[in-house]
Amino acid sequence: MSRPHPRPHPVWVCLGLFAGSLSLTPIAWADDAYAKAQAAAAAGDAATAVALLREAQQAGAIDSALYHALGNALYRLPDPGAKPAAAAAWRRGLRLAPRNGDLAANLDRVREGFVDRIDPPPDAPPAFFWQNFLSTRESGALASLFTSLGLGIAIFARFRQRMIGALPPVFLLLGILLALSTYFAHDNAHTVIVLDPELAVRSALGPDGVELFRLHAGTEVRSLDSSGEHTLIQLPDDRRGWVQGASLLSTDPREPFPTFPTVGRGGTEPGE
Amino acid sequence: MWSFLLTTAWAARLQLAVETDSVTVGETIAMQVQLIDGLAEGVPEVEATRGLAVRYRGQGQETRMVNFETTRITTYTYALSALTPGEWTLGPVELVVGGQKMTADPITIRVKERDAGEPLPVSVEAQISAARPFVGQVVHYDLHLSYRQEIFEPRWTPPDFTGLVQEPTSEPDRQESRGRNNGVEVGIQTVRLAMMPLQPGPIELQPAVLTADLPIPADPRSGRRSVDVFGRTRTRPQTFATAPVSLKVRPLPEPKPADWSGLVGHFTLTSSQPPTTVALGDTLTLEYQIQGDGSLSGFKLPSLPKEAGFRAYDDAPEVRTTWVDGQFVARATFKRALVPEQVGDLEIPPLRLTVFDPTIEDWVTLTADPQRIEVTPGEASSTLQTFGGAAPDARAPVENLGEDILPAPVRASLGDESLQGALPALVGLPLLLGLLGTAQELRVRLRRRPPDPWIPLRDALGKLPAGRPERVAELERIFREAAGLRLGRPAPSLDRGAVSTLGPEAARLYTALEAARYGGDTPGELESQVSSLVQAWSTTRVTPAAATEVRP
Repeated sequence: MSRPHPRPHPVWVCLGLFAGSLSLTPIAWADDAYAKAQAAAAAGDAATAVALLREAQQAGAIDSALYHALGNALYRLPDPGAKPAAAAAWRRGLRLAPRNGDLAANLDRVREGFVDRIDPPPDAPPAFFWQNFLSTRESGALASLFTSLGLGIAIFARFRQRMIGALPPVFLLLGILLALSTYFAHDNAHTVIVLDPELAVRSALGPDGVELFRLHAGTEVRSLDSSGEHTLIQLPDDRRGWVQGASLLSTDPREPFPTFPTVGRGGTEPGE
Repeated sequence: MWSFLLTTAWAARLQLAVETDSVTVGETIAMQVQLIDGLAEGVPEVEATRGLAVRYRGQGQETRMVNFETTRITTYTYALSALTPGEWTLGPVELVVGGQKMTADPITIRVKERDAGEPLPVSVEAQISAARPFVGQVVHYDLHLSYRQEIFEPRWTPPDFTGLVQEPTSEPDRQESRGRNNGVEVGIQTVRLAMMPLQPGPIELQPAVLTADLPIPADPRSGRRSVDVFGRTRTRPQTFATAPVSLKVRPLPEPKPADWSGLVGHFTLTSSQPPTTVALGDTLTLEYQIQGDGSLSGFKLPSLPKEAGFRAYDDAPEVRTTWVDGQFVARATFKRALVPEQVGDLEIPPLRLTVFDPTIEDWVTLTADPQRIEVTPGEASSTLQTFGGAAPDARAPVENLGEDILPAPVRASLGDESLQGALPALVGLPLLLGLLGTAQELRVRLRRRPPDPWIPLRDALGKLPAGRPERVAELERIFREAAGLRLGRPAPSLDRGAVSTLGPEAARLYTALEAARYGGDTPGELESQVSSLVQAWSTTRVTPAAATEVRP
């Protein structure tokens, strides 16, 4: 009778896979573009820095450091209309790295110059408070880890013909909870920032729509729906309305970052 | 009887009440401020003009219930003294109630002159020692009380000394004496306060008020004095006010000397004689005494120059103040320990103090003469090392000059930090483990299924030995095993009777196999019969009844 092959403990297997899932595959070209962008910014050429960083983002570098540098370069542009774009860049970076104090400080600083006193939408429902300091990637990884640990320990116990115990169900429950919070946080990430100095919000598409209120550059609101070139937005006090989509900049880090200075130069208002 | 003059404020009711609105100079009456149904913060401020003096006496509280309604009353009691004839305004009274300021309207009090007749038995007077003092000069404010008859419990209320501050180290001077005035013996009490003006300009000190209990005058008809049940003379409080005192404070003349010590007054400076010889490293102590009519509070000796050749350690000065013949005098003794730092003839530098002398209205420099001493090498010659003294911490916090956004990292290895970038791994890992677990579970369940006992019998039928006796023996074994499985009994224990319970076919086959062992039917026919029977038995479930079910 042959001796069974030694099997690795499933906990270590899970941890190894978990660590592997969190590791980032560096994008060499983007690193080079970032370095050049930083050099251009140090030389005072903010426009070149913005262009280089934007290209790096489109090449797949969805990185908080990139958005930090992009926001700084946009902030340095002489055009005052670049400030909302800078806020959008920093907001994207903050979604990827919620605990980055520098990004939060820069965002607070630029928000002080905006007109509308509207608090940005929360990143997650209050029940999932940990999403305020965990990115969706981190919470998703934790969900995967706990689920894997629960399954792994259950499999190991079954293999050894032992009682499963309370640990696997607890881990599975945590994994499910974290998966839910990740989902809601991801769903809550659909916010946009107003780029135009003044933007009219209308009640409906088409000529029958009535102007409900006006928003100003830098205000962050939730995006609910879109229809063609128009977007349905919602304020924290649940007021809603339609606006021109080109006047908004998404805070989703995976969305392409538009070219500046064409950012914010929207077309007609809804209904016109 | 109280005749109340009530002024009412709004809402929670603030009331100002006086005993009467018409008083005589010197008379003291009671005044009350009542707060009804309110919670006050602090004591009400009562403003009085020159002709009146108000002194706070205390407060009390009471709760009343009328028609099942509770009312809380807080009463603040004051003593109101009439100082000068005329019509004077009392109030307004302000009080913070429940976070809001309430005000009661002012009232008018009429003060009548005293009746002409006997001169007052008491007189009060306020004086200032210098009508045009300089800033920082010590002046004394004197209160004189003279009385021709016995008075009880005299109490002074000094004026508000705005613009003046009491000399920090002084105590009031109180003196009592007796004298004669127009052949009449009088008692004299004097209180002196040492004050210092803070800023140049005119100062108007309001009257000081003396309240004392004076005996009620005797009945002019009977000449009897009013006495209580214990035979003590009845008294009534009387108030007496001094005249206001004016002074004009002058600024110190400019330009002030750069080495001005800060002292204002007429001072003298003396110093002790140190020993003429001292060993290196030993300590000699010098004593300086400064005395004068100015304030020495907070004064420190100037430091020795660094090149003097001595290290100096100053003790805390002893400052004493006193009154000499009604004049303020301050004395301070300064002890300075000196440690010579080098051998030879050294000179203790002279101590120079520049003060402003109000008596000559000029700057004066007081000097303690220099003194020479010889510093000998001492028992063991050595070089004194001076450690860094306790220099004050001159560091200052870093000052912010501006604000800006915070910089991005200089170097970064960019990747995909989004959820979608890691989604395959995050979902794949639990999925993989789930599949693994399912496979594991299936494998375990399959391994535990008991083997089909009919399978070896069917296999054996296909592998019968070639030789006839062995073949028959194997057939018989297979038949017995099958019958045993069918009956649930071990094969060797089976006999004809047991096998016959399986049916006539089984019984016949049992007999045939026995006969074949001894040269009966050919094994070929028996093989097919045994094989059919085994097949039939292996596919049907054993039931005690006749009906059978097909095994899945």
